[in-house]
Amino acid sequence: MILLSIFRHAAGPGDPVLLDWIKHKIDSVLGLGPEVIVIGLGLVVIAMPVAIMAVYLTRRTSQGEQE
Amino acid sequence: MAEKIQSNKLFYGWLIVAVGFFTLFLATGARNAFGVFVVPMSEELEWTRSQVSAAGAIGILINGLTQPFIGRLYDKYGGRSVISISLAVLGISTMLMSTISNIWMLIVLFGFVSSTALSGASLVTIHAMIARWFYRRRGMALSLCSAGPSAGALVLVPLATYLIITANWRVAWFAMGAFIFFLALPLAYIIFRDDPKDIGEVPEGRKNANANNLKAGASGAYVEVQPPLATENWKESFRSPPIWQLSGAYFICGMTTLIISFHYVPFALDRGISPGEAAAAFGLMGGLNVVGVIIIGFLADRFSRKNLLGTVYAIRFCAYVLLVMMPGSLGIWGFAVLAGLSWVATPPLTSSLTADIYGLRNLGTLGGISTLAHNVGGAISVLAAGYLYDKLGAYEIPFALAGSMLLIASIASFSVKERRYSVRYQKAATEPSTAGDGD
Repeated sequence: MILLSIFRHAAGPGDPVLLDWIKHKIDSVLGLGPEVIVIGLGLVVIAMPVAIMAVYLTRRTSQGEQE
Repeated sequence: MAEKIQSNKLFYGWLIVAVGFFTLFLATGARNAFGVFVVPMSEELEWTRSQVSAAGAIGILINGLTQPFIGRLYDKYGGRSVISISLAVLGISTMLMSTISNIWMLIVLFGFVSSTALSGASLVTIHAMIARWFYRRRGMALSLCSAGPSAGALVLVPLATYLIITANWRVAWFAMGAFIFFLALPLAYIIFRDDPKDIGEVPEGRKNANANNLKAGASGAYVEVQPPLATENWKESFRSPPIWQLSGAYFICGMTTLIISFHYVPFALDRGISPGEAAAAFGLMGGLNVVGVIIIGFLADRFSRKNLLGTVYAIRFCAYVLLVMMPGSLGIWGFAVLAGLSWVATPPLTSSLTADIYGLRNLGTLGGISTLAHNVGGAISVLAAGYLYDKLGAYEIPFALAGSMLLIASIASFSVKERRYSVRYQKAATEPSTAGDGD
């Protein structure tokens, strides 16, 4: 039971106060609907592996040409 | 001509760093979003907050305890397989969180399965892999990927929040798991390589033993330098002071970071700061993590790493002094800036010093043990602060106690004999050896 007390005063990245603040900030700055924000953030996540794979394939192609 | 082509080609190690960053971005970032799910899951499934908190607490405990064992598996079987399997398990278990219907499923899936899997796709394993690829710019390489968890939290916590708003918590869990399984796993499996010699590369900062043959895939031999404390058996490392100094300081690092993660916003509210301002200061601290770790990466390859580590702990000590001594907003914001810059600066410095001093053979195990010390320190401080708050009704004393420990961490770091033990200060052996052999 003592472990439960860890969360008694919990803040952390999932702190409700912080999350509420983040949400209001995003809403007020961007003024977009939640669906648009989901799509935007989702695209940020997907763009990273796409960019990494593009660099990897370019490197592999140029290496193949050298050989 | 061959030399020119070689120099224009992107060093493969930077691709490993990019995938390491993305892996940590998703794996740890999704983990940090757990708090977002507490309220909607509790409300729908009629759980108490304590029940959900129990699953979270078990997760922290299991994640810390499994680090040394996963680190050992890394040293034995290599990073590519350990990290890929961990990402597969983590992705599936996170997707399965969308099917949860009772508290035991949460405890098993989040508390045990995903927490163990997260140990395999953590800073410990990814740092150990990157350390094999970099010598001269090891500090920068480790620092760049160390920014992954903070950057992940900045994107995935709001993403999970908005997914819950637009759909529900089940869709949000499934999306987090799907990102890990369908994006991070294939990328890690395709691009990660345990050792530069696997693809005929030479680690960054090491001279190719065969200067006339620079064609990729044809070499892999380089001038090897062994740190004086490199051993076959990881247990022997604990007979020398540096690992105790680094792990001891990392224990205090855990004490002084986790206590803030859990108690900072409540402390600010107790001081009469508005919830919005408290959250903004906490958010600023998170953003400065990324800035601080990149600055430290730049400095780590130019200056003594143990002096930088000692300075980082000293800066964090000053942040605690501001927090406890300065009244009102000033202490809160001053702490946010100084502590934010120092927050994530310690893992790359600790990992690179461990690699520089003890070599690469047992780096997974040694990193896992240091991380266990970090998490134990964190758990103790969080519990003690909660207990003292209940007894005293204020956070000043627990914060002052934790902060004062940073002086010990700073002195322990400054007193590491880096020049004597670090591979950075050793002269190259005359005979070339192969990457991975002996180190």
